[in-house]
Amino acid sequence: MPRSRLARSVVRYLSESQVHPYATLRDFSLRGAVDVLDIDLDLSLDQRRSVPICSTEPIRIFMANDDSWSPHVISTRSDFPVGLVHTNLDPDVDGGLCLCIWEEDWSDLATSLTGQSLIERIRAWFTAMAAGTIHDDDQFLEPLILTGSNTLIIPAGEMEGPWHIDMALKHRTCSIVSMSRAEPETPIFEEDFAVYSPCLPSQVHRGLSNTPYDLGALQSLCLELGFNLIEGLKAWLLESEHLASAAHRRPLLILTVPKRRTVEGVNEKPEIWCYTLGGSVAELGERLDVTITEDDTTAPKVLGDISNAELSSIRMDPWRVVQRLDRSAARVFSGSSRAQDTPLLGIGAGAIGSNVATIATRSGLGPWVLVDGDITLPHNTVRQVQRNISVGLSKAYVLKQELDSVLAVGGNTSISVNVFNPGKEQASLDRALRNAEVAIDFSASPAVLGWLTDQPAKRAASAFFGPDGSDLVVISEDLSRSIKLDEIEAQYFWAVATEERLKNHLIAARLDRIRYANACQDLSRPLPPWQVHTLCGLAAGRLAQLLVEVNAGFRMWRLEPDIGAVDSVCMPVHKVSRFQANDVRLTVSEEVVRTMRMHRRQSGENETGGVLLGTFDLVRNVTHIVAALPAPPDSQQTPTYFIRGIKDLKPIIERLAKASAGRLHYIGEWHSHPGGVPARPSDDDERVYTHLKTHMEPSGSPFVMAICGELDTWLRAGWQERETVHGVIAHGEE
Amino acid sequence: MHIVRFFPIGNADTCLIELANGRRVLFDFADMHSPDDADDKRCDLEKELREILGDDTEIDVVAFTHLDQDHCNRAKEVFYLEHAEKYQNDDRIRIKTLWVPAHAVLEAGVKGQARTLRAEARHRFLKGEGIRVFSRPEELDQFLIDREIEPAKRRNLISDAGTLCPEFNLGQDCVEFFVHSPFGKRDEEDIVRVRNNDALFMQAVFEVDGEQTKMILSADVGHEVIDDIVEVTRYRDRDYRLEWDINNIPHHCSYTALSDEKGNEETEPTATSKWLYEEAGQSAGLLVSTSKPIPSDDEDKQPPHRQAAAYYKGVARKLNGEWVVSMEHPTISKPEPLVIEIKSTGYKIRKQAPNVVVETPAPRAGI
Repeated sequence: MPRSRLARSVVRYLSESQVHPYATLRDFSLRGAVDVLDIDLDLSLDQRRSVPICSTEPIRIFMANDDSWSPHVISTRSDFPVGLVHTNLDPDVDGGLCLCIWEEDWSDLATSLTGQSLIERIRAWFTAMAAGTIHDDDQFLEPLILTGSNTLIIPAGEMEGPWHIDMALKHRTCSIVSMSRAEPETPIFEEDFAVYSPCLPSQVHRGLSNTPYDLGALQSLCLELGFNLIEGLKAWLLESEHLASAAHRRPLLILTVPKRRTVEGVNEKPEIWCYTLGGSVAELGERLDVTITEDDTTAPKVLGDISNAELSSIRMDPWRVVQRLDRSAARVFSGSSRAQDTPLLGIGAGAIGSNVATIATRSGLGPWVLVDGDITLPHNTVRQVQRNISVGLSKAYVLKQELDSVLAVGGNTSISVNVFNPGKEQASLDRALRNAEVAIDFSASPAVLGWLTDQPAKRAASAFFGPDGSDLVVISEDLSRSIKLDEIEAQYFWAVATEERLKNHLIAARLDRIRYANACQDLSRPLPPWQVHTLCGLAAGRLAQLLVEVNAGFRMWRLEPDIGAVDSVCMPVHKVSRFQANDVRLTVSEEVVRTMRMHRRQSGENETGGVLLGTFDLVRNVTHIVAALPAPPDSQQTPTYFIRGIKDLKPIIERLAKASAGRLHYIGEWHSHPGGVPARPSDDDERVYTHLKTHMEPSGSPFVMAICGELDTWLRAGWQERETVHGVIAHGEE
Repeated sequence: MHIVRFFPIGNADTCLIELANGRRVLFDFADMHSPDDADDKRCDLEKELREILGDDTEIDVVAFTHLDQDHCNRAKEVFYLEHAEKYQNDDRIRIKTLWVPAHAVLEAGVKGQARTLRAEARHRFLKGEGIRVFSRPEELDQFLIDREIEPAKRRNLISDAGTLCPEFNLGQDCVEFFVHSPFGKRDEEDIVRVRNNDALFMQAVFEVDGEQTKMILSADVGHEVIDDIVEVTRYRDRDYRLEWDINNIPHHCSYTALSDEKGNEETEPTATSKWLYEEAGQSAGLLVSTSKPIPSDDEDKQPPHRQAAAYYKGVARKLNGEWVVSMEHPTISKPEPLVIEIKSTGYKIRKQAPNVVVETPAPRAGI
């Protein structure tokens, strides 16, 4: 019986399984500490295959008798195709071709690998190999050789030198060397290396070669790839800089191998091989018969002959090579399909802005321009990225520094101003607005949202929390800015006041109605960081989504802190009609016109009407009409006139106002005209408008009268000291 | 994806085709197993078929390639037959359209299952719906005239060799069936007569994402019929109509489907058969023998014959394809239905060890 428990499991599966295992055990043997199984696999293959795999494939599995390492699987078919990806290029010592079956660490794999799953994994490997799907197009190219445990960290971006060592550390028995493009000002050297870094001819990616562990094997591999490593090394050893320090430095070989997918293909990401050789540069020179060292002084050996060197006796240690991430690489690792960097502008570097920008930066989204006039206060460190060390410093600047340190590329900038008082930063703020793909308001301030609406940005969005910190709202303009941010905000207020799924969203808003999203600024309201991070994670995800969307968006996520459940609500954004007179703007959502037309149609020959609701901004002189209520039941509706009643109207408007934290207001009156009568004011209608003007103008609120006819809707809006706005909205097909 | 199934039913034929659009075609139904014989490894075909059909009670087309018992055994117990009430109840599987060779309508002196199916074929043919008859010998006209039916009024129910079956087309069903046999032949009196034992011989062409996979269904034809089919088809420059990716080789691996001579170790096929298998066979093609396991000696005169199997195996090897014997798949000790998936990458034999514990009911537990 095999000594390996896994091998015994395989044997039992193949010999005792009640269902056919589509594999047959041919032989079993013990070789030292290894159990060896010979098996014929009966494979399920597509008729038309990318790789000539046969329906029956013989394999041999080597297993440690104590199951201490992962099973090695080789093909024992003499004509098994050589050079495939996920195979070892050279035949194994046993004469077979080693197959790369496992991608997990053995410690993880061993916990769940049964005899049956082992056979099925190997069968699946062959099936995928035959179908040509074992290496997906979006996977990185296969390495040509395997690597070891020492680590070389190379700079982000183009994998081309020259590089300088900025850090060389020892971690237990391993070495870690970090390279930088610029010469470091204060390098950290726990070890001293001399770097030889040639670039080899470009290679087509293929099966793995055996990892060279001595200079002879590496030289053979390099010669196979068209490069004479030893000749290059000889010239490098004789350079005066290396002669001078040869006795004290260890040689570090960094070989760059450009790779391409096909013979005709262009070079993609190159492969970097890194090796250390046992001793110092001086010792290497002597073993290669190139230099001679006496009393710590190294000189060229006059009669030296490198062909005397026993290359295979010079052992080498292969290093793992990793590259620092730039935004492009971060996007790949975070699953983003964006090809280019995305300039973004964040207004507000507080709880939402700092966390969203950090997550976005980790996703390769940026660079960011961060605008915030505040300084970091002690309590900010609970919810924001800024830490204790930053207390007292500009929030925007500190966040920029934090973002610059996330990846190996910076490029983020800060503008430490309040957007309403940019002062001498006005020009840079304007530039940032125009340059950003999206300008995002993280300020939790309706005024900033309104300000951003009016700026020359390519596209604007806003992310804010509900007042109790458990709801996240993200509203975003469409690509052409045909629906502006403040118009979406007005629709948001109507939705939270009327939509069941958004119920109580603003219920915790302060009654003074100064802010609707005061959670972050309100020191009296504790807000756990996990809640902030949860919602900011969602906001960052939404940001990545909207970058590839064309249409305007309105989403809300509602977190139930007690159980951690999050409900996602996606609300429609309606188109708007927009009218302007000088600096006064009036907007009407498509939904309002649709509602008026519906009531008009339902009232038959009678005129009907009701009240208009909306929001307004006294500073920016903007009125948004977002709702037309139907006629109260006590209204008088006749073919020639309409008198709007009052029954239940006041409590309805008060309820809507309360549910919107006081942002929805009575804006005016609407009524219908019958077919054949133009939607233009009659003498009676003018008296209604005069009535509105008389009562509302002194209060300072805008007032609107709308007439919904058969072909169009007519509007007139008045406002204290402001230009009167007129508008006509032509009706489309219903 | 289309699915083709062959069943382990000994020396007998049943092939179920399930199309990607849900339509089904059953070529022959021969439920051969003996429920009382514990050693019988042939499957319970009715049970297998009903499990596949699930709640469906109708098959779009059931073709009986000919009416020998090994192609229609227990058909009258399983199918809803329209010609007699005793074959009609809701548990029976209905046949929307019956495909039979003309011989199945005309054959005289038949008994048992064949007689019942002949009655069903005649009933549908005379009624004028739910049937397709292959080949048009002059006896068929006489059959109608004798029953006072104008032959022209049944022409729409008859398909000649060398045509496509109208029940399916590539556009709607992603499959077409080209009929090679039976075909009428003029005798010495210059009368087109049906030839005895002429079974259906068809090519099914499946299409998935623009890629075709071709299957030959050759029933029990002998090499003389194959010789005729190959010669006629090639004469008409229709070699592609004999190309195959899957070949259900004829007559349960009998040497007579290859040659008159069995051969000592390997049957030497006629030149035309050789062309059919070695030239018309596509790369990695699959040959299926619906038969008992291949014997290692010549004791049994009945097929399968090891010499014929040796030839077919050689063809599979040459094509880098596969050779499967229905009663040997996946093992002789436990044969199971052969399930073949047809995708844009050609055919693929399903070889997946089922999770029996999950996929079957647990044994009875409790006191």
